[in-house]
Amino acid sequence: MTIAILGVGVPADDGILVVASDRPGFPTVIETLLLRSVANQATIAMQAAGVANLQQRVADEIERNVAERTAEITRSNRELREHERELRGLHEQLSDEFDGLARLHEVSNWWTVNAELQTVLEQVLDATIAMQKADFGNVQLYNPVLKALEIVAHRGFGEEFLAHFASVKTDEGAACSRALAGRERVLIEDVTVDPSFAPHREIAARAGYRAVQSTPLISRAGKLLGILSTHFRHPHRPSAHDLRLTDLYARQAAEIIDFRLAAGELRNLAALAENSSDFVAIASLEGVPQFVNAAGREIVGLDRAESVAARQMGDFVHEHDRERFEQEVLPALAQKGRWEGEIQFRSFRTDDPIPMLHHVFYIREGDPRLGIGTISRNITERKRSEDNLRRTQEELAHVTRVMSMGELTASIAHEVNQPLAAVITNGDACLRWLARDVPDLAEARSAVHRIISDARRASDVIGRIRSLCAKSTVEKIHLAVNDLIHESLALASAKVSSHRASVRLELSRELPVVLGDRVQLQQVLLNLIINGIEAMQQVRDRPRRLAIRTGRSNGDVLVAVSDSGIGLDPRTMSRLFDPFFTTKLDGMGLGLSISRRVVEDHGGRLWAEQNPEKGATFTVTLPPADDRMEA
Amino acid sequence: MEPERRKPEDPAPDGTEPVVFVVDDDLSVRNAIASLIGSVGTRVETFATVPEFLSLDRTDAPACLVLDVRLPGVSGLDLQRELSGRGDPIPVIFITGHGDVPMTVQAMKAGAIEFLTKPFRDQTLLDAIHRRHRARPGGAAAAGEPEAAARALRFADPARA
Repeated sequence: MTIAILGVGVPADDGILVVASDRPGFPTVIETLLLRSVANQATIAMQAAGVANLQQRVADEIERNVAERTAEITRSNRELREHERELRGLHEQLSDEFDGLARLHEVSNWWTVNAELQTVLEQVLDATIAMQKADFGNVQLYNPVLKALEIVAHRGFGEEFLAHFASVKTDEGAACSRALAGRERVLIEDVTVDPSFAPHREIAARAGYRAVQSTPLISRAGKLLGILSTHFRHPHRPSAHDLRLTDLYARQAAEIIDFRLAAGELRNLAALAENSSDFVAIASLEGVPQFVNAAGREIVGLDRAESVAARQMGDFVHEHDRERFEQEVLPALAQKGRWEGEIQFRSFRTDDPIPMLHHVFYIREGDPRLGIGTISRNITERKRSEDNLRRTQEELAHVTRVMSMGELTASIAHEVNQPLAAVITNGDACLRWLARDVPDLAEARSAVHRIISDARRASDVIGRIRSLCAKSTVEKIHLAVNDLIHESLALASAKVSSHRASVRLELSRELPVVLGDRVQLQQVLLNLIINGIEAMQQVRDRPRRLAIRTGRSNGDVLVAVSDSGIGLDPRTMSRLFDPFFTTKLDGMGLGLSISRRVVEDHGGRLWAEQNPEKGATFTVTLPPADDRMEA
Repeated sequence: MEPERRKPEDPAPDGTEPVVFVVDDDLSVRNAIASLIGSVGTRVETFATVPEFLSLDRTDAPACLVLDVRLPGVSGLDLQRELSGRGDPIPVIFITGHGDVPMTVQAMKAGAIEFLTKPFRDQTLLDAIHRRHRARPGGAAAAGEPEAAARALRFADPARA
């Protein structure tokens, strides 16, 4: 047997190909070639298998690698995603922080925006709710008068809640109430388990919240102005970070409330000054005007826009009164801190005087003086009415039955005397014409005609005067003596002021009424008042004061008229009430005698006394109406 | 000014007969006094106001003035002052319807002849008028009576009272 061994593989030692045969001549060349070829084929096949194996191995290897890689990448992805999530989380946090701070910035900007307090509070509330991610919220302001919190802004609450918490005091167990009491934030994480909150659980349940926080709003000065509360549907405790921001918001809100309340007060004060119809002005301590309100400008004729700083306080005063301003008003201001009285301002347009009732005073804050303030009233109209009234009263006093006795009598005398004198002279003339050697009958007749017409004239005068006096019969009615005094004073007011006298009244409130004739009793009082004023005419060294006192004396009503005048001459005192006795140059001497007669007709008395100090007192007593016997 | 009262039996005026001027704002009084003075045959002229009187162009005839103290506008006393200021010797008799006692003194001191209050007795006025006319300087009756003349001078010239 021959064995042919061929190597397989490359190099040829991967394997062998063994072929054995008994045949002689084995392997022929062709066979050897064929065997070679087979061996090559086997090599190729082995190689291929080896390659395949290799490939497989490589493939496996690759797969393994790929799997590893994939796992790595997956892990990386996961990590990345986690990072991303973290970053996003951080981003959100930063965003929130930014938002929170942005809102804080906004809040502090609200100082300068001219928005209503209500709007500002709603903005703070919205910011807080957003920042805390709360579900509801409200702002309460503290009412110091009622000592309670009142909801002024809210988000998400219904009528029931608002009504229930409309006015909250310190003892009510709710979060805001406790915050008010303790002046500290109150957190209720779960209202259903908080014991103090128990009374409000139902309301909270119906409103839909389980947690609440209430932060007090405290001003810089330490005043508690309100509460800022947020509510959550689920049990919740705001984070420290949220609360920190909430505190910042709360502080801002408190400042804004404080500022707006103060601004509101200031605005009201400023509006008060601006809207007043009086002249309101402020000047520096040196007297340089800084502000004059609209009404004041109009009164003195200043333009609305004109600056007043170019003028001095004294410029506003009319030159007639300038001296008085400098010598009386300014010193009084300096010494007593204020002056009040009538003074003439002047119109900047026409230079006319403007009578003003003037108050000037120092403006102080505590002790230090800040400036000079003025509030003055234009009394032009008042003076005009006073003048009118005075003139009317003077006219009235001269017409009709309230003329003073003396004047009435004198005018009667004159009016009647003229025609009477003519009658007498005509009569004389008539007799003389008739006594001539040749009587002149024509002249005599003329004279008689004139007598008749003159006598008629006299009669007419009497008739006119009678009708002026209106009542020839006396009409007695119930009268209040104090009223009579006021009426008589009104009639004499012209004389009072023209004689620069002052009148002091001490009128008793408990006087019974008297029965009398109003006109006659007014006459009596008027007579006494005018006498008193005239008695003080020459007085220069003491005040001219007329005092009128009413009271009771032994059941009667008493009126005492006292003056500070020249008093009574003891030598003539006994004749004071005699008719035609007078010490006056132009007097008829009838006033007192008629007055006494009138008073006695009324069942009273009238007498005079010298005052222990200067002057005289005339006293009238009248019986009260109930025990008066009809005259 | 009213027409002067001249009666047919009275002598025709020659500018020298005495005349009485009456100034009073009351018409009845003027008429009555004019009638009274006319009844004794003396010429009389009446005026309601002082200016009316002053505007008269007076002659040399002996005259006297019966004057109410209170007149509207220029008063009787003012007129008296005015006349004496002018050196006018016309005698003045005041009449008044008011009880002007203090004025009496004033008027007499200023040289008035008489001061009568209404109603006055007719004789009183007529006597006063008559006296003054007779006492006038230059009057016929006065010429031969030095005392009367002196008195007349005194009365007629208030400045020398």
